[in-house]
Amino acid sequence: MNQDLLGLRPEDLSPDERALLAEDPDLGRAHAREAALGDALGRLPAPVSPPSAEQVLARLAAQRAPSPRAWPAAAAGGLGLAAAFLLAWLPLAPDEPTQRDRGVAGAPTLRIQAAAEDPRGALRTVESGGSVAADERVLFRVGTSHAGHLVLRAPDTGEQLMPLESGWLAVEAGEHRPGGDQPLSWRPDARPDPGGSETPVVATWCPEPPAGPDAPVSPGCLTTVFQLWWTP
Amino acid sequence: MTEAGLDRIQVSSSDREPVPDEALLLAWRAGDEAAFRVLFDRYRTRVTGYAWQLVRRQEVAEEICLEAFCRVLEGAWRPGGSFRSFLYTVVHRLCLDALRRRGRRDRALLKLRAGPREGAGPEHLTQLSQDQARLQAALARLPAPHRAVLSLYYSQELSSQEVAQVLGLQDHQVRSRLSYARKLLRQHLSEPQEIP
Repeated sequence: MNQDLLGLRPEDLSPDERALLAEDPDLGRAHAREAALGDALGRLPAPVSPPSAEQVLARLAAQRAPSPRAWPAAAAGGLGLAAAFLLAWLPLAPDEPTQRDRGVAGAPTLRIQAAAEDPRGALRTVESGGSVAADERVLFRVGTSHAGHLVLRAPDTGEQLMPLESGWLAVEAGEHRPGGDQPLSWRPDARPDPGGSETPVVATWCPEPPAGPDAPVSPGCLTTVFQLWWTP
Repeated sequence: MTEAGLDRIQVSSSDREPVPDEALLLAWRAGDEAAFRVLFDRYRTRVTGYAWQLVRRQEVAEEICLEAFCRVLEGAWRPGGSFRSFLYTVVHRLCLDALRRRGRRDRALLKLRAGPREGAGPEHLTQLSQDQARLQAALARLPAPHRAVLSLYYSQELSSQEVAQVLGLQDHQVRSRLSYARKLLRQHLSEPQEIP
């Protein structure tokens, strides 16, 4: 589409597209106008003071320093890779025992799987009710057996994890992650209590989207709760 | 061409061409701290600027730059891929994380408030020309995915293919999103704006 080549830099255009812009004066003028807008955007300053190299080096040193939790780091890293592989590739088990499913027997199913990511990026699977350290983040995957509309929330923190904006996500049957192709990890903003804090994450699936994000779900909907135990 | 002339060209050429990012990263991993400093200086302002365009909060943007470099330096990049694409992919994901963590309430506030008021105070705007201030305000009103594509392409000067890698899109989708984002931006520019 001609509109889509306007404002692009020459190196991002094919020879045919460059020729088209050169041959069509109207298109050429429109292109120049859009390119000028792009140039203006490129000249906009951002009011930031970037961190220093010393800050990066200090953080890296802190991350490399051994901690009481670090002794199984290598094993956890290996396990994490395996967990990531499993989480990414294996189909959801049909009778996963770690969540409660509520709905009509034999009806569509809904389940949540999770993996915790430590500050080094190592992943490990987490079962519902499992512990997660305060410095870890959690990746979720929600499986739906039928197409419909899905939402994933952490009601205690008032956050909606999927979709990121309010509303419902229209889904096909299959697996769905916050962030889609660029999976997002999550943790509550608040630090856990000294004795730990329970944080439920709730997935709701409905064949038709409810009227609003807080509207009561219909009997045909499913709700699954995944409990996380955040520890300091 | 004389041999002496050839020498001059080679010297001049090697002076002009910066060391590739990927070579600097490999050197850092081999223990060369100076290589890290060159690489970091090359991107730190741009990366923080990109993060700010998305999250609109200085302290968050700076933290994202810091965290992104830590992840990239110790992370999964391997020779063969573009360092720049990988870096911006990490930064972009951290920005989305930050936006999501703010929660629905904050996001609603973000939508309701003109962007430059958040993170960039009047001090910043007074340093901009009136046209720039209008453009900044209009840009801030765009949804994050549209700010991202405009910023990556025009401010960070990534190629359309690199933008596609960072955002997980096809090249034609990047073109289409750029076109729509510019259209949306022009709409906002044509509307009356309150600039502090």
